[in-house]
Amino acid sequence: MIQVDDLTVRYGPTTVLHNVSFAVAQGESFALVGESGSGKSTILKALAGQVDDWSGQMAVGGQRVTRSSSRAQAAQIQMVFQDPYGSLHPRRTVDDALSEPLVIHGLSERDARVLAMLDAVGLARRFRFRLPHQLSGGQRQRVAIARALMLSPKVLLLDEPTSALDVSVQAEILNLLKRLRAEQRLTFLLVTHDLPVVSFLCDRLAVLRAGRVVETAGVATLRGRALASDYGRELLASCEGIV
Amino acid sequence: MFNGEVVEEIGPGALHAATHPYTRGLIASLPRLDEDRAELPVLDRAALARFGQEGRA
Repeated sequence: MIQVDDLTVRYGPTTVLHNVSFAVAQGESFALVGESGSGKSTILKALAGQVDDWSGQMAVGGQRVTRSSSRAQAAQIQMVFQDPYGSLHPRRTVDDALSEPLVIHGLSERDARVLAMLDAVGLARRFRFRLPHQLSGGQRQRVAIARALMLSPKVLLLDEPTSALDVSVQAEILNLLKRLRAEQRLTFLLVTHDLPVVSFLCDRLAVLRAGRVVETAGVATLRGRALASDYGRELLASCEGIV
Repeated sequence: MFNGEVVEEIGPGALHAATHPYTRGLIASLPRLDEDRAELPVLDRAALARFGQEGRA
């Protein structure tokens, strides 16, 4: 479903990704882990067509990502960010946020689709005409997930989707993502620095350091604390003894 | 803290010994590296609210 081959990205004179390659099968959940600056979020941006200076090949759903992706391609792949406050317009209601993609893509039965999506993400219908500041952090993230799903995408790009939430709300959102993935046969590409989150939500992971993939492993290897690369072992050590 | 009150004060190394249901609920809701779980437990806010009222009564 996602194919990245030899992806190199430059910001001005700085190369931030070096020949990154990985593949994610349909319905699979794949994590990109590494600390800040490792380039993991840049991979999501490149797949979403938000990076100018790149080389290599990328494909989503068998269609190559080009510098001018079509509207139909854009609908296949949607992104959810760490901070839903930053990604929701402060003066637009939940209804506006969920209806907008339908309007842009000329889809009908907007009322029914918005209500069905509120139900799907576990947001009570009375929140439909609220503004972002009238919602809790967890509710805002439900709105962001709902908006991402309005066009029935095949792929969700998740950039630290729960790291701004308290741990109980994080659990609610992680449960929601896991259920939606199964119900809608979604493919996930998750960026995080939180290995337990990877263990809960993902099938495989790639470990990134300084713009390079240093290791790719299955989640069983992660759960067995058996990552092979030096940096992978460092990440494991840093999450020892939290509880 | 829960409902504006400090309900428990423990050191970061002693989280496993937490006794307040809110603290225990938070810890339980964390994903675990070595466990494959179908669903994470979430806080039962209604039960916590009842506990809070009884605790003050």
